[in-house]
Amino acid sequence: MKKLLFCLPLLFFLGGCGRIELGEEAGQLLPVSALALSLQEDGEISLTLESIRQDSLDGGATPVYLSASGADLSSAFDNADQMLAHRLYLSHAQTILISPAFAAEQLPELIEYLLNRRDARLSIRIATARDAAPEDALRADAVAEEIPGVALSAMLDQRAKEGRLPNLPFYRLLDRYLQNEDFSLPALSVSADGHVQPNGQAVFSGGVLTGFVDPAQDTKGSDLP
Amino acid sequence: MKETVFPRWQGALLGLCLLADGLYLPISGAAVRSAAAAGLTVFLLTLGWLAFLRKRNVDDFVTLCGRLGRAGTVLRVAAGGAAVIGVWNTLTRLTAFWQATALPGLPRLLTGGALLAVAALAARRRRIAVCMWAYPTAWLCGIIVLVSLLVTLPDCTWHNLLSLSQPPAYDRAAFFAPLGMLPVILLCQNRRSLPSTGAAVRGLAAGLIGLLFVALRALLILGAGASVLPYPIFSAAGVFSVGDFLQRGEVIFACALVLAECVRCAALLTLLWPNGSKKHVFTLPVPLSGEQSASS
Repeated sequence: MKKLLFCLPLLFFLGGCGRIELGEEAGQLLPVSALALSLQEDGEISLTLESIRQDSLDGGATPVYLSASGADLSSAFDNADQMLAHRLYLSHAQTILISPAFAAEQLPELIEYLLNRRDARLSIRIATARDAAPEDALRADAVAEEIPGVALSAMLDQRAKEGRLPNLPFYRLLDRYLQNEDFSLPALSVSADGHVQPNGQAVFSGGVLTGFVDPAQDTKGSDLP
Repeated sequence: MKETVFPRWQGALLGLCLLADGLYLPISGAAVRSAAAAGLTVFLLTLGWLAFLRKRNVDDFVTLCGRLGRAGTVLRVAAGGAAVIGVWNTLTRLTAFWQATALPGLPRLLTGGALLAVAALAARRRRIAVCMWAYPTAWLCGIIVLVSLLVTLPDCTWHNLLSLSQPPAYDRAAFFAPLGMLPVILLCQNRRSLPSTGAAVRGLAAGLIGLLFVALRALLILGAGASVLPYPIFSAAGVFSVGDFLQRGEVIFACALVLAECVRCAALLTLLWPNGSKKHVFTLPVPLSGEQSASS
């Protein structure tokens, strides 16, 4: 019996808890809690990542931000990796904020990139920043949480459950996108006092952003990016 | 004393072997239908084999081969060949799964060797020990699969049920995957003193229902997205999480199916190595009363 109990933790290893890549241990990974992506005027992709620094065991977590850019998503992430002794780890990321320009041109690339990353979750939510840069929305102070990205994710989850924002985590977005169906992503903006607030929906048709719908509107708006 | 495999152990083994395909099934409406058809085929073939044993009044495949003389030897060699193919199939697909998901840095030769070693350690105690351990393992796997199904229920998009009726009519990969467990059927016993048809029906029904439910869950959650994910049944189990604490629910789910694969591999090895290691022969301490009355 004791032998069996000793072997029990090995079950988790069988299924993949012990995520071993040669030369890569848990301590060498930098967990990302949220990220923002935007398309710059020169066509480069700008990436801002939020990670959590745990200063002490009794709490005291603080967000840290890292920005990098690249010609495409892959090189932007590679460039961010190059700035660290760690490797970026997306398994804890729950939210991706994208700019309207990025949504209009790069959404298929983002979908493909996330599919190719083993550490990206299928439950991650993508939201569109409206009237604000996604980097600014990501860094905006949270009211009830210490980490803005975590607060953002909780807010998106809750509003989606209430039906006030589209409930479209990545796995549902993928389904709609592959079936060439129209879909909407939550739109977020930064309020006058510097907090993130829901601001309608970004409407996509054929995988391309066609406009925004205001919170009060029921039909598609013509507010093109 | 004859080696006695209790019917419920046998039923558990059959159910687990059917469930073991859950990690690799492609997911679409046609795939779910084809997996169901393959499961029913396995079901009917098993019942046919058990009825055949009963009719010929033989206990199991080994006894049957012993009665057939040279033809029996040919049959045993053929069964051994099928078992080798089955073990090879398990090794290739499970090591590919590990490399794509959990252990990308480890060579497949190493993970395959580890799996084979575990299966051989179980198989050296012969069929009876593998079947006996299949029983609690089946309960463990069943509970894990059931909990995994329940917690992901809110994430299902019920509209995706419509894709069950969409063409094509048939998915070749989904149909042939469950048929890979057919050699395991040869391990079944069906004695007059210990009829095992009922337990086999229950075990296979549980395995088939489990397999179909996890496939259906993947279809309902992922929809068309299942076609671009390498292991959709595994991925679909991972959409459930509790905040940042309980993530990667697919890991626990995969444990259940990996255990089922290990049991299947060990069962197939016992076809190749029926006498096991003499040091580790397992026998029941007390003969069954049914056996005594049958022999008297």
